[in-house]
Amino acid sequence: MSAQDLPSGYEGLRVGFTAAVSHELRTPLARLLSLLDTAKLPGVDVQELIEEACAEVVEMTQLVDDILFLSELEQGREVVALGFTELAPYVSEVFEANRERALRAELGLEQDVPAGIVVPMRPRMLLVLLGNLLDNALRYAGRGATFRVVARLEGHHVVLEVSDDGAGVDASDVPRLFERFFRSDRSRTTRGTGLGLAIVKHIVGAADGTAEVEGALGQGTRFRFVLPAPRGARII
Amino acid sequence: MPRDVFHEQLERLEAAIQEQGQLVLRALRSSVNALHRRDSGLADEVIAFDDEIDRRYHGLQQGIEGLLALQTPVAVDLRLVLAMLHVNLHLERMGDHCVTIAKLTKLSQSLTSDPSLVAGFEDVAVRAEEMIRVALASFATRDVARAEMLVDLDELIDRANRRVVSHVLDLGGDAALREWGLRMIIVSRCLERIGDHAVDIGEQTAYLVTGEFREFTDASHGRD
Repeated sequence: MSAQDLPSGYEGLRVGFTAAVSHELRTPLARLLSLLDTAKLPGVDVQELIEEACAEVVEMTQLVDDILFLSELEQGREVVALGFTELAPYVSEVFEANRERALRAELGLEQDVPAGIVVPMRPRMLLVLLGNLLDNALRYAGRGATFRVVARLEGHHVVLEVSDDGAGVDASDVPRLFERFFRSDRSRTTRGTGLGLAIVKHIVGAADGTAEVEGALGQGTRFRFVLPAPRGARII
Repeated sequence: MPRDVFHEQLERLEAAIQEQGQLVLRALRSSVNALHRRDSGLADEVIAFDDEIDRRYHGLQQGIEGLLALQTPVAVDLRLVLAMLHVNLHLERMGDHCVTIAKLTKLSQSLTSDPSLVAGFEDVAVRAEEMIRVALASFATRDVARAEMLVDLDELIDRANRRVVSHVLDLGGDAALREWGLRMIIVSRCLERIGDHAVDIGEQTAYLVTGEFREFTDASHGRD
């Protein structure tokens, strides 16, 4: 394909996204087919193969769910903000729901979120945002790391910092962490759809906030979100 | 107060009107999502969110009253202030209709539903959203021709509303389904009224630009 034949603008993004989705689905489908082929062989542990096949189907379902969710967010069919939600109870809820996984991954969970700090997003969206960030740390931070959620009020904004002091990522990968399907784990040894952080960025943007990330190998990963705080009713 | 400060305040009020329109769009989308998914929690969020819409409505109202009292605007400035007064009210009413849809969603949780009718509401809601966007954009750009397009868009919603009534009448003898259907007629009516309010905002655009108020269609005489 020559440079002139390359699709441009929105069409280019659409084509690129379709190709990426196809590629991402092809991998678990190939693994599933391989597992089913193996199950036909004599003397294999069919039960174990079925369990592995189920895991592949779960992964594909998660991928499709994430794609649909991101698509609905982008089309405005899924509303991110309907007023404000208190942050602290939802941080606790996400920690509680993932306590077992964190223990298994030897990931410490800490929060410093004062009562009364509110963010402009629906509870469901806040749970998705916090859940995706914790999921990311559970997969990539490594044993012995600590996941921290810190929030404070700065003027008319809420600053939400979510970090871990784990393995981190190569500094050259940091600017790409919010990209769809980007995974710093290029060998794909960990599971995940590669859409979690793209969804996080979209939620924060739809709530009129900004999202930044920094980190380096061996120095953990730090996300910083700045969101509008409630203001008075006075217009002028 | 210097005139440039006055015009800054006018601009701020108009920006706040546009923001209010975006909030109403969120309330409408969420109320229809709650209905479609039978999501009582989301319906509660829509009902609670109306407090925010009302709070902004009162803030805008006070801002407009302040300008009228302190600046005594004239000519096109006066028309803009008066038009914003009306647009603010229409947006607040749209928010109230979203609350009604949310409340009916909660009331209908335990009743048998007809998925094909609910799917039809999704189409009507998309049209209503489009009407709100057109109404806000034509007001912002003072585009009377675009505002007049709202009449045709509204006719589509009116027709859909009439079809809903026919559909409900055909639901048959299941008492729970009939009860659900009667509530859905009110949902349909709310969506239809949201379309009417969008047309009313369009009429304010025409008033703002031409200095003369006229209703776009005679049909509005029959509205509540």
